[in-house]
Amino acid sequence: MPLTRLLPSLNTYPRINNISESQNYTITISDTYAVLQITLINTKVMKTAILFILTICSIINIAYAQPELSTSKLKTDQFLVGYQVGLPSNGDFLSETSWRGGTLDYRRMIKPNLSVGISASWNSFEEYIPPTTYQKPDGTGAVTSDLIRTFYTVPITATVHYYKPATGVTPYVGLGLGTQYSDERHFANIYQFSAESWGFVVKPEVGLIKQFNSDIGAFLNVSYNYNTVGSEIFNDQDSWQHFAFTLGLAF
Amino acid sequence: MKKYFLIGVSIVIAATSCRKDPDFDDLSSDLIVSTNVDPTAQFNTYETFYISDTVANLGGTDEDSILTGPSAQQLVESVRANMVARGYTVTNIRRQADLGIQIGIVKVLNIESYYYPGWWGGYYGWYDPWYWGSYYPYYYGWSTTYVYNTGTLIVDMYDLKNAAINQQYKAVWNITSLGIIGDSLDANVQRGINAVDQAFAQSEYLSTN
Repeated sequence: MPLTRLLPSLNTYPRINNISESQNYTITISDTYAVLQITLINTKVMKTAILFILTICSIINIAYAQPELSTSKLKTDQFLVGYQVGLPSNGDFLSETSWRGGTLDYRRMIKPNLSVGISASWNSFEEYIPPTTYQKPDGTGAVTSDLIRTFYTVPITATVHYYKPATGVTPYVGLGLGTQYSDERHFANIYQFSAESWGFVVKPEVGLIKQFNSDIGAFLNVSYNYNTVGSEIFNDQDSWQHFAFTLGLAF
Repeated sequence: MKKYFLIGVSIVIAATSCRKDPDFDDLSSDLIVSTNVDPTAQFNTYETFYISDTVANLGGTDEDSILTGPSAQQLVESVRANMVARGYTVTNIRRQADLGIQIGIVKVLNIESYYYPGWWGGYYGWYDPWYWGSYYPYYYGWSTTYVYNTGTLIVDMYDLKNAAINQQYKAVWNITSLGIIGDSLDANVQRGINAVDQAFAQSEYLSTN
């Protein structure tokens, strides 16, 4: 029977869907860990992130060279809507880029160059993991299977942003603190192992914003998202990190 | 401004649509090979084993039967060869064996049913305790819930050596390979053999040394 036909019906199995909640299942992958997990930060991700940050920094430098610096063109209340690309940096656990993501921000200027606000974004990560043997840490067995690993993350943060006075394009740095909702689902053959979690998230970012007229502007930024909760199913992944590259409009 | 904002929100939501289903075509059909072991078992204290040369065909009702064909023999042989390779000696006399091994394949089952390996012990069609010479209840040192699907291969290994002391047939090792056999043992026997080999490979503690 094709997998796609069987999988939806698994939603009716609370035991399978909540398999990580108990230590008592034999194929409780929650008890298992990848034997050869390497936790080096993905070099490709790092290079991309550094390049992106350097680009923004060089634009900032150009902006600095301009006379009559000002942030007065920024609106008091800003709504930002963006498309977001996520690059996980969790070693071998999950390294594939997510092309599905977005962000919604609200910022209010409380000083000419300072805003506070809230931000919510989401990214859908997915990767195929070839057959691997997972030994249970309690020594009661092992499981060999390939997997599709999916992670859906929603960091929700309170933010503060500082804007460098500039003409034209305004560079900024920001910090977000808050919580991240994570929904992980792992598929092995017709089986699904899933868990939801909430963690504490820290999210520094740098970016650029330009107001075209009183109605609309555009922004570009890169943020680093560090969440204190990793995988609830695979206990070798204690935290979750990804870089997020965002391009969007400001209203 | 509100209008632009709402349009923007709609575009983002449409473009990213929260989350997508993964592409399940990537997943291999070589399925899951799961092994369970009693962590207290000392595998170097056993020397001999007995293995039934038939395979139980475990169905839902009274349709159970014993598979005896060439494919069943190949499957039995793969377990036997792996055991011999780990240093154990095969014996044809059940009551003299330290370990007893049974192989079963779950026939067509309703996917929605839950089956507990411990339950097979008292199950009509699976070997009854008298098969090993006297009546002791079966006991599993681990707890398990599976949704078994068609063609799941189950191999159970029992401690016969200490059965009288334990007053039970304690299962010390188990292979459960979900759906590996599919609808036909003859067509998929090689997949079953691969699963058995993988099960031994991930269980290095199975050795007389």
